[in-house]
Amino acid sequence: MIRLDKVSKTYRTDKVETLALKDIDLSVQKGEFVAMMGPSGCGKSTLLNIIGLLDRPTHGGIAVGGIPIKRYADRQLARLRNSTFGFIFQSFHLIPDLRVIDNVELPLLYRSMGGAERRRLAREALQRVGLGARMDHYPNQLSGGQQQRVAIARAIVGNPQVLLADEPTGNLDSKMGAEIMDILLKLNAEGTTIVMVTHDEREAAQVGRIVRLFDGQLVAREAAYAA
Amino acid sequence: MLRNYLLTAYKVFMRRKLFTAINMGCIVLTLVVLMVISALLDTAFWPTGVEGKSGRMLQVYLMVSERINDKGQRAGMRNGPLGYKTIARYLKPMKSVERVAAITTTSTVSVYQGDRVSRLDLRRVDADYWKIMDFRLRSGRLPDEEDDRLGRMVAVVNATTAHRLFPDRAAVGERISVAGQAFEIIGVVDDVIHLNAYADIWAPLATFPSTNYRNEVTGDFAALLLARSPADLPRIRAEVERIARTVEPVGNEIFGKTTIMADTKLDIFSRLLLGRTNEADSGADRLLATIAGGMFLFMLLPALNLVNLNMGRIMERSAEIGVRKAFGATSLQLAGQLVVENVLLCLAGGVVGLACAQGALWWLEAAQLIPYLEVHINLKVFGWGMLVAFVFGLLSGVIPAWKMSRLDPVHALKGAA
Amino acid sequence: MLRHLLRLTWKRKSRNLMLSLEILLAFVIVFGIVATGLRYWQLYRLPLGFDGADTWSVAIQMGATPPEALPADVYDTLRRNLHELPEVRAVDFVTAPPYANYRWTIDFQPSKSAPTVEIDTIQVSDELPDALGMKLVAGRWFGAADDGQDVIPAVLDARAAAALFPGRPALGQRFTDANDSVTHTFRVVGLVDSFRNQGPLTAPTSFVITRFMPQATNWRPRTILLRVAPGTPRSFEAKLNQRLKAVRSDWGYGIAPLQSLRASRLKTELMPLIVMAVIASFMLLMVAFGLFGVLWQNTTRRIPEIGLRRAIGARAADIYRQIIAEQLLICSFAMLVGLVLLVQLPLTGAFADTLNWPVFAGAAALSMAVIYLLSFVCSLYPGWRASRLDPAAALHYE
Repeated sequence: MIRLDKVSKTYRTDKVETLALKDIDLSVQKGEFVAMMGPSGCGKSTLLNIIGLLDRPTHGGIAVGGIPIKRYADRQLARLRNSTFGFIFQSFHLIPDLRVIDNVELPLLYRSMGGAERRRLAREALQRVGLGARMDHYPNQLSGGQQQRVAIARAIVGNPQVLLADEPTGNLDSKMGAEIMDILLKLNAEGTTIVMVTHDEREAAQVGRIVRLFDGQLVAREAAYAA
Repeated sequence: MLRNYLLTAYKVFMRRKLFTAINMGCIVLTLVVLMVISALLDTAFWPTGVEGKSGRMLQVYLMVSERINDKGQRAGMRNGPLGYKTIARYLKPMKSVERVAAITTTSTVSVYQGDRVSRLDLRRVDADYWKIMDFRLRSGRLPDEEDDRLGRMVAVVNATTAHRLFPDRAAVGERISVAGQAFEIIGVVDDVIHLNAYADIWAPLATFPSTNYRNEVTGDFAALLLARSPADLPRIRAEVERIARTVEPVGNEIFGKTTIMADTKLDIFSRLLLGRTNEADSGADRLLATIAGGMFLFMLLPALNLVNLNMGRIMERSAEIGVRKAFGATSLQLAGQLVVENVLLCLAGGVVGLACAQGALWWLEAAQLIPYLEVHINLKVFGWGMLVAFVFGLLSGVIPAWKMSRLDPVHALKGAA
Repeated sequence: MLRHLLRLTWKRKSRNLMLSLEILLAFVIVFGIVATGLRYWQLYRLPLGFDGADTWSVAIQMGATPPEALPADVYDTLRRNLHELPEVRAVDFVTAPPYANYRWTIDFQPSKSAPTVEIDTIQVSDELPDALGMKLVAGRWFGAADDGQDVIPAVLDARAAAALFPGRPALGQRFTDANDSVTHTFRVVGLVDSFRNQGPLTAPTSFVITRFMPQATNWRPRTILLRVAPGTPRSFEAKLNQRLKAVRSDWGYGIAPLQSLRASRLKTELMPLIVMAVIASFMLLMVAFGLFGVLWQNTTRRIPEIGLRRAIGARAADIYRQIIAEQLLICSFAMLVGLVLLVQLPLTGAFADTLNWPVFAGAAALSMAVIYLLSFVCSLYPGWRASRLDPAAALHYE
């Protein structure tokens, strides 16, 4: 599904050069649930950004769904992101001035689709995460866990092939965190590929594969423990 | 402590150069407009130079005659400038004044030089006029009582007119035909535009084509009353009022009540702009208040801009503010910081605005939109402009400062969600 | 997408309140100026009622000579002398020339019992159509046939005819001036379409043109209107002045071609509008500054949102378009409120004639265009910066 070949990323500011990622070789199969772990500053978020086409590698190549991403223009990258990926963030990134249903249908606005169709898909996505009754609420009227569920609904509304989650439970307590993990596992069971960055060993233990990073390099690949 | 404020303010400005530039732009623009307008009004209402004696001068441009019918109601009214007869009979003999001059308003006349026709503004004046005004004589001489008495056909022109009529030689001594009458130019003065001093060419009263003007109670004349000191003005006004009651109706006009308006320059403009030509009160106070109000409103828009921008800046700096508060800065200190920043910006804008306003005035003088215009930014206008800038800075800093002092530091430190 | 932006902008309306107020203020100011300009344009295009291209005006300055002291035949002498000049084609006497700041109204009434109507009036002699280039639509002008009659002939314009004789033909009718001392009787001998002696920028008024009858009344016109041969140079003035002085040397003569009177009149009338326009452009500049700054700030505040939108598939161009569209929407809200306020003016009939519906519609359209353009230009740079944001960095913006 996703292949990274010798991917490196260097950040250049005025005087300082920071090597964020070095020679990453990674392969994610369709339907896998991969967890990425490592200490702070090791480059996990950077790697996730590159996988999600939010950032370009300085060296190396990516292929998504078998298609290599070469010198794609911003336009094409955006379209790919819209159709292939769904994003879930630690700080939810919901737009506070919009209702839940409007937040969920946001990715569909960047496809040419009629309003009624968008509504329908948004409602279905919300029901899949169990929030069908909260369509007209505003994000500040929901708990943290509910907000993240809305974010997940937004991520899946366009039926993406891959979900990219950057510490999805980082801002939640353990009970809500467990709820979120349940939803993600359910989605994975239904066939969605998921790549998740996490700090939590127990969460990581629930998924199929763990990838560890340290100082921008892969450390070891572990086979999954059966939960 | 102040030095601390100033340093921080400077750093803040440099960090966000674009915002600082926008703020400065607004302030400079507003102050330039306000200062240019103030300078122009100052020149109009309280001139220096040729009409430098305006502080102790009153001018009479209007006389109102009302006709009262036998029922005691007002049955008709005429208002307009005076005639020479009224001035000579009632105003010239006044005791409380130092000098009274009779002048006409300007009229456009054609000056014929062979095949060339020039249109000039002519003003007819008596000898007292030259003593009340302080014209700068470039060459030749000014008319005196003898010219008046003997009825000599002499004329004085200003520098631009002299150059226009005789581009290659001196104008003094030359002869011109003004509306068919032959004149000799005896003097050239500097250009000037003031209420009573403006003209292209001046001639004595006796040069009127006919002596009819002497018998006119109303006409195209105005009177200039020069007091011995500015404190005499109320006394002069009272005497004029007394005299007006003694004015006799002329011929078969049964005008019952006459009012003669002895006005300062401010009064004259106020009458013109507010249309108050019938009552004794010229509404000068109302005019000044309206102008001040208008300027305030004009300032409102950029002030709103500044308030808006400052509010936004506070939101941006909420983390910094939270940190300061956590380290013990009081709300007052933080508010003070913000107000000092604002006032500093406005004062800097004021100085730049001053330079630009002077430039704008130079341009106005050069462009000759108003002919012969000479206007300066004197100390009064400058001080006023700086005061405005200061008040501006205070006003537009107070609301954001107040808002900021109510920011919860914990919330601010965490940043917006 | 539009509905989405509408919802977004509407929810954020309180945050944008100050900005909207500024836009509203700017809109109202621009509307005032444009409406005045359009009204002048509208008036300018109405027919003037006369030509005057080759007409000169001579203002006689005779001091306060009482009318009785002027013999009636001095006018004949003047006319005869002037016609001797080869350049002169027609000579007429009027109370005041066109484009002068002169208005005289009298209360007329069609009969003693009828209500009076206040109408502008002017006295002229028999050569006015020739001297000024006027055309009659009915009847005839004054002439020698009217000498010795006790009624004074009058020519009415369409408005005066309708005011004095509504519903019936005015030709041949009589009317009087409602004066308490001496009443004059007039008879309508001709009709013109309109006569706008105040110039093209003043609203047309009704007009009664009466004949100057030196024997019948003691009115004495003090202006001569001459039509001269086309191409007569300005230097003709000296010769003209000389000739006039030969008739009466104790009078002064102010000679000016009608076109120069027209030019200075237009300049005086347009001056306030120009001054207002200059001040208004300063205000607009200020609003533009404010718009730019606030927009910049808003964009900065929304960096996380922009990052999110980019992440879920918005292209840079989409972000750019969104910023500009939101700005135009805010403008639209503000201007809608402004229009609702302004439309009260023609609806309630305030400024009845000046702010008529065509002027209102034109001014509204033009002002909206100006404000939209201003907003568009002010949002170009902030929008461009927003679209250039790196999505990854934007998402982690603190």
